[in-house]
Amino acid sequence: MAGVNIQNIKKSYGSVEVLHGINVDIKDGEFIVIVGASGCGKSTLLRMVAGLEQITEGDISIGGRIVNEVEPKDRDIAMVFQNYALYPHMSVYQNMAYGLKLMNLSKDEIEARVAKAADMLQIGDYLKRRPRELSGGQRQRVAMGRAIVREPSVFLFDEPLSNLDAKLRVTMRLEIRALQRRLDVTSLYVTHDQVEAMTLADRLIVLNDGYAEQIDTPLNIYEKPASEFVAGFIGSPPMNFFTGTISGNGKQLELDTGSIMQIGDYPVENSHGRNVRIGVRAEKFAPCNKDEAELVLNVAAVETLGSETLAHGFADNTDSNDFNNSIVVKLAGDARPVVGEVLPVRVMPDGLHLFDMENGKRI
Amino acid sequence: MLFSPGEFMLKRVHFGPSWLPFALVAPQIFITLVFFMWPAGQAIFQSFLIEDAFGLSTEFVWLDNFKDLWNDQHYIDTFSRTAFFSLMVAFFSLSIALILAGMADRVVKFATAYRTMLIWPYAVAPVLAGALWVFMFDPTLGIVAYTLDMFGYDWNHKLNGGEAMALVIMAATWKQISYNFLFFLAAMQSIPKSLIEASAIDGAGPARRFWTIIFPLITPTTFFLLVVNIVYAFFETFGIIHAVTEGGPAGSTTILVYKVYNDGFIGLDLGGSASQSVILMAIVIFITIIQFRYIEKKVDY
Repeated sequence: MAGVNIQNIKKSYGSVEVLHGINVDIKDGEFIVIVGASGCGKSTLLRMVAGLEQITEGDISIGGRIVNEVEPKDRDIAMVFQNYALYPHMSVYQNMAYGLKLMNLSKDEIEARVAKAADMLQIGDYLKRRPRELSGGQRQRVAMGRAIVREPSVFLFDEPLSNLDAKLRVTMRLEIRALQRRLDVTSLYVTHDQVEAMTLADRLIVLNDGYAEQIDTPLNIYEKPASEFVAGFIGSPPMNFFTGTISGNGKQLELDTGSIMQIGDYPVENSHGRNVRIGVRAEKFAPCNKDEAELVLNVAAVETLGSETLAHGFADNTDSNDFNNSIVVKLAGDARPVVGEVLPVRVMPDGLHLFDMENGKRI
Repeated sequence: MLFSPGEFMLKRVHFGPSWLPFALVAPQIFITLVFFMWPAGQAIFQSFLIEDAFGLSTEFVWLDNFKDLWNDQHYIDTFSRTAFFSLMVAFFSLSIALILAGMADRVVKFATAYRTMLIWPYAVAPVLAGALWVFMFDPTLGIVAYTLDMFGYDWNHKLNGGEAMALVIMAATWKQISYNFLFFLAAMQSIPKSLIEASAIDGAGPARRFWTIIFPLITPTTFFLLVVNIVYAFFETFGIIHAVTEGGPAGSTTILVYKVYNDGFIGLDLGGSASQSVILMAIVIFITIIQFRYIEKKVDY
């Protein structure tokens, strides 16, 4: 059992810096998910913790011991790879026992540990099979088993579910979470899937272009995104963004499209005339009467998902072909808006997020 | 087999009779017939004949040539010598290439430069490769022979059969290493990197990783190369032996293929030489069958 401390970690390939100083203190037993778009450096960060990637600058310590120069095998970690990385020429049993043999454990101890892990993961029936004789989900379990038997103080997961189909991904997600709770082992989990990130994490690290944009609990990140990037990245459908100016002595927002929104009690002081980015999540729009509407949408597309209905539309004077700029409103599952219909909406009282025009930081 | 052969032929396209396919394969058939089948047939025919050195009289003797070979101690010796030579060449060229490929696989800086240099010897013609080694080991001129002399070792492959054999093995091995290296390196690089990383995390050092992960995974390549190397040592080393020792001293480096040449073109025993090449032909066919039957079916994971 051990916490992981990541102190001002930087990584460069030649003159290109891909991680620009990450700081995070991971407590013992915590489940941390690193999330970000591809190429943001999230796998690199994980691989530096694993010891598979040199650290350019900064310190990583596991259980209070700085491990910058420590070999992967001596870091007391186990890793689950995206492609599982099972040894194809070995049986499931041999795959799981490989690391234990190298630890010079006794034969009985190895057998006991493998049996225990196999039991936990329900792969006891496949121990004699080769990896290629297993399905994706079974391979995934074996990869987990290989990590568990080592009884490490830190688990590292590098997008372990991205090769599975959607349904299996949900089950495995739950299993991973339950397993981690049960074993109470500090875990770092890399993913680009924000649902995985939200559901698994005790705390989330949102990485963007080598910077940690926000490190917080999933709900805090959802409710109070620290930057426009985080706001747009976390949440589905993505948050709607507008550009506007604070007016009316900090009481109103004047959108570039001409609409007026009420700020309510959002804390903006002395900001009259300031240009801002405005974010509103799809579920924070409420349909209303035309005369109290803050925004009037011309519905251009409707997605009925059963449990909810998404109406995509455009304000009057915007380009109504570019769905990158469409506004999405989440309606009840039984709502049936029609394409071409006019949909007046207003923002719910706690629905506003304001971000700085230049640096995208939350105001 | 993942698929049954018929599975892909959802729709069989029928073409009417046409001269086009025949015309397209004709050049290949022509070359095969003229340069392979005809000489092979000639060799088989010749192996049943005894001819005098001037080709004035020819006698059909059925299998007498083969019976002579069977009873010829020199020929039997050549057989075991060839086996020894081939195994040594195959063993050394495979193991050295394996080590080099294992190293090159780990090199990051200047990797391309290293690889290019390691591949060069393959581009050297066998006779030139032989000449190169003769120069280095020449008892009177050679730099290596000179160096050995400084250490008190009197190298003379022109008199010492064992040294002559060592020299041709070295030359033949050196030339084949590049080829093996290429295949080994390609095989190693096709192993997913995460496997190596997983075993590093599991606690295996570089040597352990090599023997427990990399080596088992390149087994199919190793088998393939083993066959190719034996065939190489059997047949393609003629140029090297011709340039280095001419089969000497006292026949101590005469391998089967060199004896075919020696008996036929120097000794002018055309029938005997032909029957030796028929035996060689049988060996190649045998090795090829083994390769197709067992090795091509690859140990796949």
